[in-house]
Amino acid sequence: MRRHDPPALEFEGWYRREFPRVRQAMTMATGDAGLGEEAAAEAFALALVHWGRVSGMDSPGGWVYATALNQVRRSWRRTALEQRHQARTRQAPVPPPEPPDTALWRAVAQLSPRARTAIALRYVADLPEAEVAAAMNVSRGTVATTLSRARKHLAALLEPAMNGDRP
Amino acid sequence: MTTDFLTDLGAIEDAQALPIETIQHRARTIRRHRRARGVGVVGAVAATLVLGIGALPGHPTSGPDGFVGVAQAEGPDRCNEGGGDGALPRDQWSRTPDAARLAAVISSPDLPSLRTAALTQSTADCAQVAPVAVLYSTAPSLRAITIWADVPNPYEGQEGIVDLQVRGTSGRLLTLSDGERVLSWSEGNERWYAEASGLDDKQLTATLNALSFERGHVAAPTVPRAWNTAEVPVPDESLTTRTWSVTYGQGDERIGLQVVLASHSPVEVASRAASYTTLTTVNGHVAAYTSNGQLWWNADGLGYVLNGAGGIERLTELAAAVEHVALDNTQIATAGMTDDEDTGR
Repeated sequence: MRRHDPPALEFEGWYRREFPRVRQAMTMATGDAGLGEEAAAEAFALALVHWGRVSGMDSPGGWVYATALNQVRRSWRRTALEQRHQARTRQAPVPPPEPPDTALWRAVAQLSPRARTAIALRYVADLPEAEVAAAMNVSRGTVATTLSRARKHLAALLEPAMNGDRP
Repeated sequence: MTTDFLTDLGAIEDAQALPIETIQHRARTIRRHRRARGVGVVGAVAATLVLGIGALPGHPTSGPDGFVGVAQAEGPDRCNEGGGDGALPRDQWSRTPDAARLAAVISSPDLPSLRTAALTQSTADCAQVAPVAVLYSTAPSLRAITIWADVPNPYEGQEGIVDLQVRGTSGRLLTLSDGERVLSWSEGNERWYAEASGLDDKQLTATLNALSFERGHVAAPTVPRAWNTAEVPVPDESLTTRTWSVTYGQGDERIGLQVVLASHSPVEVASRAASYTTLTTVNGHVAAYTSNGQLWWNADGLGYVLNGAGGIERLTELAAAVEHVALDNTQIATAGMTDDEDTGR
């Protein structure tokens, strides 16, 4: 074991439990399965680098979501993520899992990036609103407003399906 | 519709994680990069290579497995190991070597209040080596060459390396996709290594062929007239490096300053990415600005890196406003210690 690695089982167990959900939340937030997976992978790698500190946090999960979001926040980081994802998939050509093809996911995809992110963190990641706010670096009120509007928007988009009008 | 409908989003259809080795490999690369940033290549050059230039648009990932700098030929694994001890508690600052010398802030009314101030410490497994020469020319456009002696060729094994005659022997040349050249050759029972950007093979070999080296330094009269010789600081032999960091603002408004003991010339940056680098001055000292928003300069034995938005004009203005302060300065005492940079914020 390298001298800065955490105890393998402790990190590894947490990683295996949490990664799929973080990946799915980032896929929803970015609208791109490859970027979502790469942002999640980068966030967990950073968590491993800082595991001594992260593992002692009240919410290591909240930290990893915030970190993953910040990986895609700036355009140049997005480019870096895309390049890393392409490089990695060239080495191990396993595509990331496609997001669910449901009416709900399709409706969420029509929301604004901020609303998608809030929905992803609240309902995919199952974070409380306070942690959603911390991860998005916005106020809790902004999160509540964003979620409320997103829910109304989704309700409008999904109303035909809810009424059985959708094939 | 109720919000219960949205709880369906929490169903995870694929519960498989990426192989843990993928995460561990990436984490090791991040550690190496951060060590390079903290150690100042020690401070400046390796940090630019892996954190700055690596993030520049179109620049390739340099070297096998994330090359982070040039090490001694006999050094272990090209100095790829080692790591940071993290931020030192404030009550340790006053008895930490170099801390009082490094502490600095940016005294500018254009900045928000100081957000964080931290002193971090990192330790490498082996010493990085200083180049024997850093040459640069700004006409007709920026070009630069950095030359090391008695080092391995960190690129050997990469695809695309070709043989090239240099200094009367057969060298090994790799041209990266943005035109940067890395060239290695044997001379005097040592492996020599050069990185160059902004010039072609013919210009590179002609310049190298003209040089004579004496006692580990380039003989000044042999430097072709078109070239300038950058000052190369003598690196500290200690394997432990302390980095002083302050940050102002957050997100796209964030401005960060790092200060270390100077160990490399900022001009080395240009030998890795001339097209992304602009040379300027800070208080009369040569400085290198890279297009991803980083400004590097040395002064009085210290190496400075300023990063943030606003371009070269704003960063050079802020650089001129850097002031050294006492460790018990009230601004510093009331600043936070944790930067969100770890989370990329």
